[in-house]
Amino acid sequence: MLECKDATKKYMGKVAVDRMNLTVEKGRIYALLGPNGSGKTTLMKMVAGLVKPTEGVVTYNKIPIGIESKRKVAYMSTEPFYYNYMNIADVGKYYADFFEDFSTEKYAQLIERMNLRTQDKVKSLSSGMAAKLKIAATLSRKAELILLDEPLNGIDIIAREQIITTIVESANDENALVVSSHLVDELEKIIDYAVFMKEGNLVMQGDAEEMRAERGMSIVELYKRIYA
Amino acid sequence: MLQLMKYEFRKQMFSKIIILAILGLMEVVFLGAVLLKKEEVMAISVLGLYVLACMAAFYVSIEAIITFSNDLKTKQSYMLFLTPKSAYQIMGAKVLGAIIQVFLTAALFLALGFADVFFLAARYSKVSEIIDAAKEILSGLSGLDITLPMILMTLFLIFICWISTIIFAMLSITLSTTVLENRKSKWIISFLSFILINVVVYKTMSLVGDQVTAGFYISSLVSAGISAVFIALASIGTSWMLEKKVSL
Repeated sequence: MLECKDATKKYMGKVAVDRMNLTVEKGRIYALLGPNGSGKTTLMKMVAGLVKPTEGVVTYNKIPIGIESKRKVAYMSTEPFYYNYMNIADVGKYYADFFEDFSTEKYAQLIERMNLRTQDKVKSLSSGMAAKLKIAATLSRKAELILLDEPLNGIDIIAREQIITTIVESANDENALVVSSHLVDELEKIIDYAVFMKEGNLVMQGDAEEMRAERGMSIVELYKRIYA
Repeated sequence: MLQLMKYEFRKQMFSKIIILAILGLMEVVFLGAVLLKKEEVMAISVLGLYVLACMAAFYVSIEAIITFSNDLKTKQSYMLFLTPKSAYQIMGAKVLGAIIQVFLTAALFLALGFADVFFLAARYSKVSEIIDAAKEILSGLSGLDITLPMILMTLFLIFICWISTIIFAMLSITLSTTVLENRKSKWIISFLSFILINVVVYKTMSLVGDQVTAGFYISSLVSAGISAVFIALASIGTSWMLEKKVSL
């Protein structure tokens, strides 16, 4: 469904993503792993259509990223991005206005599960609550490809379990999830495929189970070996 | 595009509520002063209404530009650019939104201004004499017989000029974002390109204006036409850069 062919992004000559080749297929949860500055966010933004590749192409169902892909791809950024005037209910209405695959009922359920209140102003939320809101809004879309950039950032250990459960529940044979995080141990148990990035380059990728079997170590240990 | 416009208005609604509240308050003071024939209060409220009209006109334009700048500079840009809408639709909503807001602001203040003058003229017979004298002075100075269509045409030209300033500012911001992305120094490029665009438009208008020797209405329509062409070109250019070049 998603294909990156030599996708490159340079900012004023500085390479953020370098000739990235990656294919994402339905029915899997992908972990996009790497330390800060490895290019994970830039790659996700290219897929979401927020960043234009300097070279190479990114296609979704063989069509370059654009309006059609934005209908099918849900992206959750690391930073909060909702308008300041909005409350939690307004965020749901906004998504319902623009995304045909958004489920108001699922949003209401997730908001309740995350212990959020619809009348609360977005700008008054703590970082943990804001992170939960982003997750709830993004996962309320029945998108074919869901990109979650550092979904566990700013989340306490108890809420992390809640979020991991919500992510796993959203995965099915009809969609693919790409989750970036440097909290690898939290992702280890849920991922099907791991992609390791370093300084904008793809250093390793493969089926998580095969990687563990071939190398005789967990994804966490592999992560430590690559980046230590 | 209507959905996009709805949220454009919603983002800028708070300032409009504040302007309307102050305007309402000042109108009450003005009308009360006219009814009670309190000349001093009347003079102060007229001055206040005039200042408010100028500030509101300025702020509505500036706010459209600030909102656009924030939509490119801050993470809130994701709200717009993650939606399955093309940059042409997004820009279209912004341009139409700005036109409607500027038009409504101008129409509101003009309508109130005319209503206040007529109310004043009805209350004070001397006011109509002052209005007639002002008309004569203006006609003498301009060498034209000032008529209502002429006033309306002038207001239309001011409106077009107002809109073009907003759109050229949006083009300049997009241009600098395309070239320098989100570097702090990009405002310099924005500012310089804004000046350059305005110089080009002004020179073009002067060149064409020199060729047109027809009367006031024809030359005004030619100026408005040239401005409209530049507004369209600037909007298309901005949309193209947003669609193909700008990274957020």
